Amino acid sequence: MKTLIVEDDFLARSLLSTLLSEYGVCHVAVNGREALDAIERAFDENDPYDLICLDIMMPVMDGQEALLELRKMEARRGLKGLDTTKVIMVTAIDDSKNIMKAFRQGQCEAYLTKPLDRTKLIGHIRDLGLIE
Amino acid sequence: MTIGKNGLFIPGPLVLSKLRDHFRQTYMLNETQIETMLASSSQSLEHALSSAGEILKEPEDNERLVAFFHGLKGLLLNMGETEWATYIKAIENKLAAGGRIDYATVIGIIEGGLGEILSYNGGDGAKSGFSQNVSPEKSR
Repeated sequence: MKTLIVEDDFLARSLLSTLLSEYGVCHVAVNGREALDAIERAFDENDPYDLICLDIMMPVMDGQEALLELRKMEARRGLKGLDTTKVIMVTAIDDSKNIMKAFRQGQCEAYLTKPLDRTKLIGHIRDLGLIE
Repeated sequence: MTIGKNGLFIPGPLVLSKLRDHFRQTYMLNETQIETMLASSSQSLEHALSSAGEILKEPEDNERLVAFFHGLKGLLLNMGETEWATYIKAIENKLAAGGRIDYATVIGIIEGGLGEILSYNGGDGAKSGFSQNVSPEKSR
């Protein structure tokens, strides 16, 4: 499983990276813009990410905008349905507006609120079929 | 827990052993990983609080203030410091409602209460950060 962790906070990046590196390679980006660059590069190299863990409130470009841009990028490349990247939002924002936006417009697979819950995170990844 | 000048409950000081237990029990980390998380917590807090000075020069910039307190709240939640996260959430709410906050006092309270982790310097290599290693056997 190849994962991209998009987080502006160092502890959250460390935690996610430690928990997920057990299942494969983890790359990190500190904002949405940096994430999109990494995602595009991975597509170009024909080695896309299996999973993206995406924070919402970040400088430069927030997670919601990055998610919409990711879906546009995938559409331009003819990717749809099961071929699109699995995205789990990991954020301290728990209002319904943001949750609905991430699911409806961004087509995210899961939405986790901080504090990060190891069991829920691994459970979602397992449900997505990314790990056994 | 005490009541501060802002009328908000101020949590008791952070205890390093409790923080260690949190990382051990909540995330099932080993001792080396725990040390890395303590160093990461210290670094994250230091970074957040150092940016506070800059933000507080322009207390009218509500968007930056909200982002600052929101980020701090998320960090404290991941550290298992729910009482401190609740304190920050109360400030966030007060800010959203247009209330006045003595930010310098708040930052002083946070620095004082979280002093033990802020001054944490760990063992050798504790601030080496996280790995980006591969364990392909377990990936699909």
